[in-house]
Amino acid sequence: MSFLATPSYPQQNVPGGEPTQRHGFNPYADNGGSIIGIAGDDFLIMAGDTRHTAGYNINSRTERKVYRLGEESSLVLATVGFGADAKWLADTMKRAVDVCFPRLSMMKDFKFQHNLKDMTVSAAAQFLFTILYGNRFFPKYAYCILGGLDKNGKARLFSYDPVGSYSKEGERRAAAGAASSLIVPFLDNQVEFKNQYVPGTQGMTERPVEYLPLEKVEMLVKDAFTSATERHIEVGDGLQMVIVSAQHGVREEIIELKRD
Amino acid sequence: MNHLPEAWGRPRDDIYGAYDHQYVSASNPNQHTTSPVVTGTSVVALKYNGGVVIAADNLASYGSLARFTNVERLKQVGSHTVVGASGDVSDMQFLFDEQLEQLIISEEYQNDGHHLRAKHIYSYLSRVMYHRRSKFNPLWNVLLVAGWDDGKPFLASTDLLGTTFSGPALASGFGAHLAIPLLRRVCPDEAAVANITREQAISVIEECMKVLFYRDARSMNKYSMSIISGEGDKVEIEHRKDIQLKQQSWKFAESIRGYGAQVV
Amino acid sequence: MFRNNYDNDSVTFSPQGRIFQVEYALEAIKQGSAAVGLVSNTHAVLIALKRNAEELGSYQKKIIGIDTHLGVALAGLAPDARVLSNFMRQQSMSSRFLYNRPVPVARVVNAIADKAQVNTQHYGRRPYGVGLLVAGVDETGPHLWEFQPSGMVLEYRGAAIGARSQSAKTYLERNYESFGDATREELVLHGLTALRDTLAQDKELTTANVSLAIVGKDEKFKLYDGDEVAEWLEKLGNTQSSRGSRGAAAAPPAPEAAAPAGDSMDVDA
Repeated sequence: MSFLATPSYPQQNVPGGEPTQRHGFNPYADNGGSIIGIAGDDFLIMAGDTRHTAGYNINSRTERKVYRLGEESSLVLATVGFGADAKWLADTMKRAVDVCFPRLSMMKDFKFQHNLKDMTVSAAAQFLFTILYGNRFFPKYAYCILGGLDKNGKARLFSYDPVGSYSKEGERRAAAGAASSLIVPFLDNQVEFKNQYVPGTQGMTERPVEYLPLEKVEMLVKDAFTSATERHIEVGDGLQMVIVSAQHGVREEIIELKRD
Repeated sequence: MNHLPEAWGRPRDDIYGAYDHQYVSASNPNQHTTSPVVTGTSVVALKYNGGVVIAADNLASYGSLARFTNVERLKQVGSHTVVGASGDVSDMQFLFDEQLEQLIISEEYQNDGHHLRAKHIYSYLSRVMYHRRSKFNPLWNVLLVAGWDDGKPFLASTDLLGTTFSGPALASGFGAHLAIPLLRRVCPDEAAVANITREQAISVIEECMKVLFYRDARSMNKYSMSIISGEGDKVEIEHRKDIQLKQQSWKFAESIRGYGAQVV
Repeated sequence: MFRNNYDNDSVTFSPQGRIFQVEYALEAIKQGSAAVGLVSNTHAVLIALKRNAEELGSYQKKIIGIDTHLGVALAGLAPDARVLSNFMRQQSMSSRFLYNRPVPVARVVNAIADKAQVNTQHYGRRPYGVGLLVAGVDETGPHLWEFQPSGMVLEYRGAAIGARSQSAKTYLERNYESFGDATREELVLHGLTALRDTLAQDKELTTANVSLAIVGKDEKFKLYDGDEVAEWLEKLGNTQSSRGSRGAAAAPPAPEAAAPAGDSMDVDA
């Protein structure tokens, strides 16, 4: 911590005016790590590494960044950035979903009280925007990816910047965090088929985008993180994957990444 | 008394010079801690197969001055938990003597068979730390919470930003650089905890305290250690105070070039 | 007509040392339909009889979930129970948020007791007009508490509140010794039998008028309503009131605790 001391500004007192003071306290830190989310047709994978850093230090090798927002919900939130803000966001979202969800059917009346049914992905997405933008002038310094299944079992995925900007249409893939600049072009190519052309068309016809099967997506996620681990010092130790499938429910998996 | 009421009760300008309005001016922003004053250095802790060992030395520094040499930076909170603090000593004393003391009093006052355990106290502390940072009025500390919980050793950290994380071996301050490599050598991951005995854990922590004393200029050769050991629901906490560093060897100092009196 | 001069507010004692407003509040509980609660070494159960004010309307709510380890059954003014249960939910939420701990049952019960007591000692306030049975599980095991508007709370192995609850209490008193080792199923059946004893003449337990909630050491609080109750009523067998037409009652007939005269419990329609 102390090695990342905040810059000290000189005191600037306006002659004759009120003496001004500056805070030497930086309320943010960067705890490293990366997250990604990829949506298939009726499934999605949310993943993040489990390394937690402060500068060159590894605080922990086992901190999770992907959170299920309710035991009976398909909603999953991944957060990365300033660890304390990220966790706060996850806690806040969990509570909101908990209250709106008929927790084990006992909260039935809570549902009615708020005139809400089970919180849908798009409702949760809009809610997360409200939370983030509500802190516009003291932002929660965390990048979020939110995913889940909609009423028809279709996968939806949304990604946010720290002050809440997101696309209501959702997206097919998202990446954030320390190694996002390494992962995004990889996903562009492998999920959106960017720069891929139909063979024999002399690079004239782009390869049409299609949904990928679960096994393929799982491999992409693992490849993305093993590669990011090679090239980024803040990524590694473990890979946490949460797989939400309309057919097979929710499954969580943790596999090892290099710890160097 | 002159004709300027605003000067009444103040040192005379003709003798002491004009009053510096930067002090005690109501229109100034509230003064928050923006940097620590009297500080404690590292806290180190390691899980073992029956509990946790945690240690911190007894020095409180005022800048580079070794100001107080008998400060206790480990506190037992309730019956299951020990909290260790590094960073600002007054903030530590506020947390230990005001907040945590009150927390335990009001918990035990209920007398209903419920007790706050390590994970509860850790949750409370991290909420306090994050709340204070969000008010731009941080408690300038890094806290390690060690304890016995749900039949398992518990160890986690929170700091002035409210950042939280846990692990089988943790250290704050200089310890994060010097002790962590030593601790991770014997305990690379959670699974390794099962193979570490109490005696091993104690000796590794002792070794860490020694290395820290060798290399950390804000440390001292007297420290406290708490050993939290548990079995099922039973917890025992042993406090060792005023431990003197043993078996010091300064031979290595001769080989250090560039700082001492030696030439080349 | 006789006029009581000591019941205008809840801060004035009568010369006999009574606070009438508080006693009236206790009467309000008896106006509500019955609720029964009981605990074993592993489970706590709440069972309540619901009324519907009119054919076209829904049945009133008798059991409210507070958290995954905790819930209440009520008798008396339902709106007052909502105020209390919302408060309990807040307490429960903040316990989880601040301490990462489900709130201990005794704590949340004492918290509402303190709230209720304040109302009996401030001019211009009125006591809550509702009694609660609070069932929950915490680190010290399953618990059942009764809450009264006087601010009184007591822990029970079996308890009943509401209209004709005396009949249920009589059943519980005769059987409580077997509750401790009872299985989950036995405990529920004891509860249903006790509740059946509170039925008015010619009434019966149905899927429409029974609410049931179970919480256990390894079982989250779950409310059974409507069709979910059917299996339990089947296990119970006889669902008829044992009052009046006595022939019908096959199960151990509860000794008729002489219904207090002037007990206008026929509101139970």
